[in-house]
Amino acid sequence: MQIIPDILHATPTRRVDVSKTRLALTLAFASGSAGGLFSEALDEAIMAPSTWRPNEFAEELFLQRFVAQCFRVKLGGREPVMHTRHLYRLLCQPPAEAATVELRRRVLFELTERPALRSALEGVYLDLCRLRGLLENASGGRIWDENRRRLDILRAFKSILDAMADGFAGASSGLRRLSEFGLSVRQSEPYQALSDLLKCDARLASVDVRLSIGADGSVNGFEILKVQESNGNPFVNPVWRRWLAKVELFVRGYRFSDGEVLAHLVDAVVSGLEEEIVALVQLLGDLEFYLGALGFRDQAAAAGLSVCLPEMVEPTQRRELLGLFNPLLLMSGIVPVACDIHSERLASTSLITGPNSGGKTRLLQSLGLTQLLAQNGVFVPARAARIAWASGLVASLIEETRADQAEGRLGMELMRIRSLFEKLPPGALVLLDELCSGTNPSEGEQIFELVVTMLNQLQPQAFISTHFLVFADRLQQAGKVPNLAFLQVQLDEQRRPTYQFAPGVASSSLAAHTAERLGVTGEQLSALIQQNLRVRQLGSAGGAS
Amino acid sequence: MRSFLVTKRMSPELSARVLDSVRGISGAGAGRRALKRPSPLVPLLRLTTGACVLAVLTLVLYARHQRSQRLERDRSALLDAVRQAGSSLSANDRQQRGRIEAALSTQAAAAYAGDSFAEELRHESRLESELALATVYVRGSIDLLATPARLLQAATSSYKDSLLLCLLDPPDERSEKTLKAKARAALTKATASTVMAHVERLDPLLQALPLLDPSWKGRIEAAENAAALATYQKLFDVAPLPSAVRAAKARQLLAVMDEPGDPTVPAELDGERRHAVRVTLTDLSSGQVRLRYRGAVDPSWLSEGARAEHASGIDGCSLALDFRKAVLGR
Repeated sequence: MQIIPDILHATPTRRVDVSKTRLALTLAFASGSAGGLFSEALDEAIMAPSTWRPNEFAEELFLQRFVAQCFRVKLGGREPVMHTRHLYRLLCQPPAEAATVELRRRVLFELTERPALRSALEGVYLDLCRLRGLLENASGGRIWDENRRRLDILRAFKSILDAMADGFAGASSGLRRLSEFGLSVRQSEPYQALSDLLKCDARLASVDVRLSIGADGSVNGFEILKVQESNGNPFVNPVWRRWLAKVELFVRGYRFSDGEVLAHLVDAVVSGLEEEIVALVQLLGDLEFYLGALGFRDQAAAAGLSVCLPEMVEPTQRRELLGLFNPLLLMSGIVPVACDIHSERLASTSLITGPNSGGKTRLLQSLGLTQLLAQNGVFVPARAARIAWASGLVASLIEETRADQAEGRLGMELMRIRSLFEKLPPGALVLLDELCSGTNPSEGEQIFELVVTMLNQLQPQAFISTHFLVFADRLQQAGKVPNLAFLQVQLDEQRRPTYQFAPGVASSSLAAHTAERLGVTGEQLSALIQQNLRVRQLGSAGGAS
Repeated sequence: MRSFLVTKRMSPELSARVLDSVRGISGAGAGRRALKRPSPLVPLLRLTTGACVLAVLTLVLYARHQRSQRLERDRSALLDAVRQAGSSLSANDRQQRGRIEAALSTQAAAAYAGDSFAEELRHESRLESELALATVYVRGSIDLLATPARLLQAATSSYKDSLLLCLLDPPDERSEKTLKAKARAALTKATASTVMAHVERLDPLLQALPLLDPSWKGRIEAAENAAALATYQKLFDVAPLPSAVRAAKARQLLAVMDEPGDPTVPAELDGERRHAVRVTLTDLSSGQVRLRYRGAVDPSWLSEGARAEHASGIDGCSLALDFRKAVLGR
């Protein structure tokens, strides 16, 4: 049985469309003009079964930007072009199978613990990028020698196989599959043919020459001592047979040339290796997943932040995130302030209160991304983490108006809430930012209370931010909603937000402070009006003169 | 059918894939073949074209072979003809030209050696029998005859004339009418030709005898194409070879050397004017001059009509009579 070099799933699977990719591959091999072969194959690759629905959270968490900017690979000063769409699709659909997540965690753990393996993986990735470039003719330049390009492709392919077979022999995680795959191919007949063909190309024959050097140091003559053909190589033919082969090909309708003979030999070798080359297309996506995760770790470390592979706990166990930071801030060039978040169990609802610009929305984004990354088996943006499995993620963090929306702001929010209750699986993570903020506070509070109460029936872990401080305080005091917790943004002595969160309900949204900070006090607005009028008067006077 | 691309050292699997590749069979690795695979008509077209090229090549080679054979056949025929034509020539005969050139250059020397007649020829019967021997005849300007390089020029314009006719068949009397009749007969009468049949002009010897030389054979053998050979054949066909052979075998040379004419008198219409003429009869085998005579011609005594029409012919005949008279002493 053929080994599949799938290092993303517990059960190795062919995820790309083999027949379609093989056809694209052979056409690319023939013409060198199949740009996008890898992208198309990976974009259409099958994902592992998942209970998560990307449309319920991906846009809210800016996942595409996160993938593009956090999952980056820098190797030797170069930044290869990654298939971000494939990565995005992978991350959107965390595998439902725990064994798969565990496999990925072990691979990443081994890669961080053993730098040699990471170097080997990066080497294989660079070779794969080179193979991709040769196959897709990435430079777009004219191909002067088709056979040379095909031989270069085969040489790159052999180099990858050798690196896989030799570089991961000592691996204990899923990386071992790379070695097993490489070794199994190396023992096959097509690989032997490949090796022989490349040897034939590199050394068809050897010629011993004796040079005569004159008194002035110039070469005066030479004498051929011995000409030896590599007779043991199956691709080496005597001259007369090579000539007859050309005649044969011409009669069969091909060109009469040495190049045509070589092209058919190359074809014969490639025919035996197509399955293996297709497997490498899939492998490229796998490597980008791990190298992207390591790249995210490197970026965080460069900003003085730590990431970790979280401890996955049962839903009933205590959950905590230490040193949690928002990676979206990190990718914007801002060093985020890390915080610690604790919750007693999965099935609970936390109401988050605090001043404007206090970090509530950023916290919700961080929580969502952390859960997503954890369930993908990669590093989460926290120094240490204990995370319970969630069956899904629903996020409502962006308040944007669309031209085609059927309802007003509150109407749209209520429709989302209705959809949430309709589809939310039990045990999911729910992130709601400023629920019911688009209507009269007293009426909004009633809907808010209804939502919080009803959510409890689906036993999600919900984090809801709100500025209904009085209402939140009342809920805390009453204690009639079960599993309800309260988090508030901590302030310093100057009543500025510290971006840390503590139990309790905030006493003020500090809107006045925010207004003052942003220049929206009475005095500041008066000064602005005066300045505005003065500029206009000067403008009209200048125009009159 | 296997392929020349397959070697014994290839594994069966690799051999099969190589065969698939050259056969253009779809399947694994068919991408390049799908792009490059020729139409089924292409091999047929190439085979047909190849067969046509081979046929044309064969035809061309066959035609060349035929042409070559024909060329060799023609060459061989021409060489045979040359050999046949020259078969009667001895080595001595082939040196006839040299002997004639030597004799002429000696006798045409500026200083005349004086009249000389072999004693045995001073009898009419002996002279007649001597003149009846195979003879080469040439008449021309002494300047041309003295120079071997210009000899051909003189020989080309030298014909059997009234002098020769009157020498061999002298008229009974020396009247203008008789001499004029002889002069006209030399030009037109068949009987004159019969009288002079044993005499050959020098021109055929000079022009045609080289065609029987070994060097000419060499040129025929070296002819590279039919056109060159046809040229040689044409030259051979038109060459007066029998005359040349007879001239080569002639016993004696009868040379008539016209000395420069008197520039003080006007020339006749045919160029004749008063001038001295040397007549020599040389034995070509020994090179000995048998008869040497220097006379003069002068058409001034002729009537105006005869002079205008036959001045040279009458003078020639007249000179022949003078020569005979000088030799025979009467």
